[in-house]
Amino acid sequence: VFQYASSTQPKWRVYVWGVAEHGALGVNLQLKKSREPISYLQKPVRTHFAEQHKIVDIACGYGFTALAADTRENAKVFGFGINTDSQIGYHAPRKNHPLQLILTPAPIELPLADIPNTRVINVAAGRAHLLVLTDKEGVFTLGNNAYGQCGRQIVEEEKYSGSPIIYNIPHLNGTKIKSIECGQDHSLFVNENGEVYACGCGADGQTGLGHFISEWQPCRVLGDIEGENIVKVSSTADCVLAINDKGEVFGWGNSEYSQLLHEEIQQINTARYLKKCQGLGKIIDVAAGGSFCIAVNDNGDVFVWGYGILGKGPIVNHAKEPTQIPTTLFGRNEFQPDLQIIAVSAGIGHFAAVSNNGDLYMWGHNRRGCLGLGNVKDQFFPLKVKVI
Amino acid sequence: MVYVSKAPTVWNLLKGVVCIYKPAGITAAYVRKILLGNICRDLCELETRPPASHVFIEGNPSTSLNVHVSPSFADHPLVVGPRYQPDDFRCTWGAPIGKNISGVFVLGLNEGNKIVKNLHMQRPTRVFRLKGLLGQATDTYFSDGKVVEKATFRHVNRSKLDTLVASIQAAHQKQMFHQSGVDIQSQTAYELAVQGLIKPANSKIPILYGIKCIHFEPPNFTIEVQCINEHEVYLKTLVHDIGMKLHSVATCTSIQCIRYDSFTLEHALLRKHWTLQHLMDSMSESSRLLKETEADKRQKSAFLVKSDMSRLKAPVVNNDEIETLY
Repeated sequence: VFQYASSTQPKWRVYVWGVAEHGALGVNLQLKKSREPISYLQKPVRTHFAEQHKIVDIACGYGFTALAADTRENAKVFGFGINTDSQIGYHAPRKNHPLQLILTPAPIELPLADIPNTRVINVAAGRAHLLVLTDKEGVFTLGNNAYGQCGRQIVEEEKYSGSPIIYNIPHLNGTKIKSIECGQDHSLFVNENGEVYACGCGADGQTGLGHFISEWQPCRVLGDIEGENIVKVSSTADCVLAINDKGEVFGWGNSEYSQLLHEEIQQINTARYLKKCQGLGKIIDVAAGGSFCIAVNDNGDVFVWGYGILGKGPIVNHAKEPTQIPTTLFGRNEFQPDLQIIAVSAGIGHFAAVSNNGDLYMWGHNRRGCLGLGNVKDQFFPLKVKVI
Repeated sequence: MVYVSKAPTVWNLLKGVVCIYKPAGITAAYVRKILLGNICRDLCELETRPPASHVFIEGNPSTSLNVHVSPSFADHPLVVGPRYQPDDFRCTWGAPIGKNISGVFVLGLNEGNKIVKNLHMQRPTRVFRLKGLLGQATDTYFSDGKVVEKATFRHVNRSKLDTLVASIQAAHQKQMFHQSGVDIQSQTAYELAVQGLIKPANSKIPILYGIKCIHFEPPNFTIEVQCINEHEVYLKTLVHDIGMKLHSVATCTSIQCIRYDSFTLEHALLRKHWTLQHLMDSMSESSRLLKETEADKRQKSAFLVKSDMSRLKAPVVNNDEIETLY
């Protein structure tokens, strides 16, 4: 009688796909030295790294990745990918020769006061900077600070490559930081009272501070969100969306693709309540991509608006008002009548959605296999990603 | 109530579609043989055509000759054979059914053959109940084969099976988009996908639209499957693969078709009812069903229409309910 080996309840699996050339996937793909290294993975591939460490959060920046692990050791965050601005720390196996490209997960040692007990709960990555949120010691920032996105004073002509600086923001005006988010060159913090703070580049008004200049010190975002209890902020490039506990949507930043207001204002520098999201029900998750936005309500219905491959076929590439993606595309049919989408996310040119039966759907511009569908063709409507 | 006692009248009425319950373990051809044999037997018991009359001229031509008309021996059933024989009938099926599969089996008689073939050309979906046995693997993937492997199955529980089966269903439904025969980047593909479930372009590709576990009592389990373009070996392989994915082994112990197009188990005649009267009733009911569900109009769409749908049964709590169907 055989007893087949089955792995012991792997709860923490990490799959990677997309461009591998810069090491952003952290998997060793060159098995034979004579062969060409694989430049991109079109389908999700499981990493061994997650078997050895309990990964609690992942953040994808522009060409680099950071993983947060739940451990009592001092290496709680691991990074791999592009390191030209020290966004994943200072790594110099050879003295005075810091690495610009890291191909396998390297530990980032945060200057924690209480190493065994402090836990990393969240990581967020932007174009060239990284934010790490801990449960007791606030936020640690590293990487490029040319616009003040690391929350520290901008130093003229600072050399970011090979820089060991990791800055700590312990609290925001005495309040504990609950969640973090990074846009392209700005950072957003949500504190325990539901207030949003921002710092970094403000050229498109993405800091929401009422001006269009860079600001290094995290300040409260002004506008319609004052007094609201914000539960989530989302930003990938220059547009920022936020939802409060009642499911109302607020936005600020870039609105060149009619993501935010009905009026033709292209940059909005204070938070504004989005009237176009009024009839969509209670919104539970929202994501702002490069030129489009996506929202899902408590009934599991997904709405998209903006410009680009929105997911309603090849013809629809611009929507000024939120339009619903038919739920049949996510698999709601006679055999699965209770199917709902529970979370959404967006990149610069693509979308992702997770359903309540644990399936991942992706669509949009398929840059070098970033959709994980097994090919490099653009996908004009949501398709399930095979994650084995 | 119209009573007919003359066999030729009934013969003229024997055209249509019958839905029978095929027993497991016998081939479809054998079922056809039994069915036609029963029809012929019953027809011959009715009032058949009497033997043709023959003029007998008997006697001695030189004296007196007797002329009388009497039934001809050359036309007597005991000489030429029964009036109705299986070869006189044309009977075929649209959807093939394997030897080990039991359940709904739709056949056509005489003119009904065309109807049955046309119905199958529209590729309706079928619902099967597959019973599996965990812990054993046989060489034929069915319980009639030799056991080649045994494995533990104590770790298998209901939730693991449910998750696995849900992922199989989602994977097949995704595959359906790729098999639709349209370029996935086109507007047509989007419009098809929005409609929901679509039939594959190629009639050789099996797709499982819905799979659900309806009974689990280790080592036995039952899954209900709604599929298209399937065959017997495919279903047996499905059970085997489910066993493999659960890190055990499984073999199929029974396959029962519970629905074909709009024909369900309630319309299927049991073996004891394969008699003329019941078959005639079945034919009239089938024609009513086909008319109601507009069988001839369905070819227009590539989507699964209402008659193809069958809400998969909720998990059966009482085991006895399953046993009574056999």
